[in-house]
Amino acid sequence: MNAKLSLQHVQKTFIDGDRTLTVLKDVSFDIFPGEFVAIVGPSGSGKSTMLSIAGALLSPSSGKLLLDGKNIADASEKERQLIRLHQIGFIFQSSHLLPYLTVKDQLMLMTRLSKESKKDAEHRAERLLTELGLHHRLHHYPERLSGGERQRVAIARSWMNEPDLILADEPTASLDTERGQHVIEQLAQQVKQKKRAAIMVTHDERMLAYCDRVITLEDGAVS
Amino acid sequence: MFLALKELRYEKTRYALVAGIMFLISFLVLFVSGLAQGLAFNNASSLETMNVDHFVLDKEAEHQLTRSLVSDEDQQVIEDGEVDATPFGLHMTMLIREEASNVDVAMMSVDLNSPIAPTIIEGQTPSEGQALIHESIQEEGIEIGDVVTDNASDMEFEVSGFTEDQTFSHAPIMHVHEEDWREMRDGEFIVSTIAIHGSEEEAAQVGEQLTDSEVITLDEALAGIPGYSAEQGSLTMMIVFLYIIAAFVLAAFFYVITIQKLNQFGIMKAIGSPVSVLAKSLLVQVMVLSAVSLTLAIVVTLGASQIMPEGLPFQLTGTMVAISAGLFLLTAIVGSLLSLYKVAKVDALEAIGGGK
Ligand SMILES: Nc1ncnc2c1ncn2[C@@H]1O[C@H](COP(=O)(O)OP(=O)(O)OP(=O)(O)O)[C@@H](O)[C@H]1O
Ligand SMILES: [Mg+2]
Repeated sequence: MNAKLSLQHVQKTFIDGDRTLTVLKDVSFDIFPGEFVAIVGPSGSGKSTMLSIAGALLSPSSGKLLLDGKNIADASEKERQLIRLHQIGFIFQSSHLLPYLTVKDQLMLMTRLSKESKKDAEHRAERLLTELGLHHRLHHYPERLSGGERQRVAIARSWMNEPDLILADEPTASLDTERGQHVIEQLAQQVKQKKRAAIMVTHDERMLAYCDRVITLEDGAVS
Repeated sequence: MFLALKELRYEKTRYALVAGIMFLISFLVLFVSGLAQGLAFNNASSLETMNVDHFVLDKEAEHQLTRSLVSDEDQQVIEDGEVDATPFGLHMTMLIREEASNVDVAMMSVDLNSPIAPTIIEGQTPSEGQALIHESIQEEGIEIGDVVTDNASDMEFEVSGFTEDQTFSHAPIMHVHEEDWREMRDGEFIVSTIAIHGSEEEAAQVGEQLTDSEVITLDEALAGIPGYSAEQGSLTMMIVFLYIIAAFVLAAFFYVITIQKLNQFGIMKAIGSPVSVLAKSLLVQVMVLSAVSLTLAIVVTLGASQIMPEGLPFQLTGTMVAISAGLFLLTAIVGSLLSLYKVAKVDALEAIGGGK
């Protein structure tokens, strides 16, 4: 089986004023469809940076980044935008929903951006929200939702365009343990059912039980 | 559209405030424009309603109709020429009244069968010893049949009727009979100006044949009226400043709103939105707000013009409204450029912040 995503000797250096900071020294790993991988490591070890590179938000300074076998390390801004839109689903630490869209519209926005037909999308949005237990919240604005509900909407949003790769940066940090576990359970289920690949950065040991594999980053390298 | 309108609806109060400011500014722009146009018309409605684009004036008159005196040779040249032309006499004077204040008028004499003859709205064509006066003279209590005395010539005239749209230098025009005009100057008919009924080229051709006179345009003739340029200049300056203020106010408002939303824009970019969608959404909002406030301003301005007191010179033509609306929309776009730049430069990584 071919890897969904493959990082090969990825290095990332930030230039901060007159000094350079090498955040990722040499990171290599593969992730396969149907796999749910956790990334752990001390604060400042470069987990978020690595995830941004995997998510086509940031270009590596050197090394290869293969998405479906195609190197996107040097992709243009436009190419990366399209990859983010169609192939990757992002879940952030806080839900980052748009305050002026209802729950359903948060999802519909994704299909509008990808210029997909509205009809199919409406069904999918409602089905996704139902799966995540949000059916009674379709027409609510984010301000009326609880933190857990918001995060579940963010997850549904990240699945809306049916990406093969899901990236989550501490998705449960703003939730209590019970809610957090519930959310991760659903994420794990989706990965298995739809044969997707997911990478989750987490500080919470209890979430590791749902993951197939744990990668530890330390000082910018896999240990 | 989707994002832009949903947000306008959600943030009603905030955007209503912005639209309110835009409404007030565009209302002011329209109002001052109407006043400028009204004053211009009120100043020299006689020239504007003549439907004439060129005038022959004495070269030494410095574009002032009342100072001009077209020489006999030049009059002859035009009379012999192919182009239709109407000579007329014009000077400023004053009417003396017993037991009432004196009134400034512009005295004019022109062939009342010519294309530039005034429209009589009441009374009849004057014969010798009679005069037509612009209707506004009624505000001074002068009526048909009254006898007035011209201060310059000491001649007496009986008012035979009233005209409309016949003012010069903000004074009502008094049309007198040709014979009376002759009598004032010892039998000679003094021609101040000749109106040319012809195209641009024909007017230019006439100009080449003249010795002591020149051909000037309507705009030059208007600008030559004492006070006209100063009046229009200060109003135009006000209008220009209003547009500049509008651009700055809009720029400031949208900039603040955009800065507040930078995080949202960053998130959108992170989840795969192209920058063009974000920019379009901002522009749609600017356009919708401008269109709504402009429409309201136009309606209110037109409504206000209906209930304005008679004496207030106010005139707003469709062309003027269209030009103002176009300029205002342009101003709004210019005002949103800074915000567009901010949106284009937004950093997705900063927005998601990696938990920072
Ligand atoms: N744009 C940048 N410019 C300069 N330095 C950066 C930049 N982004 C990240 N860094 C630095 O890179 C290092 C790794 O940051 P990163 O956010 O990847 O860590 P992390 O493992 O996600 O930490 P945490 O667990 O606290 O979220 C930090 O020392 C950070 O200061
Ligand atoms: Mg981090």
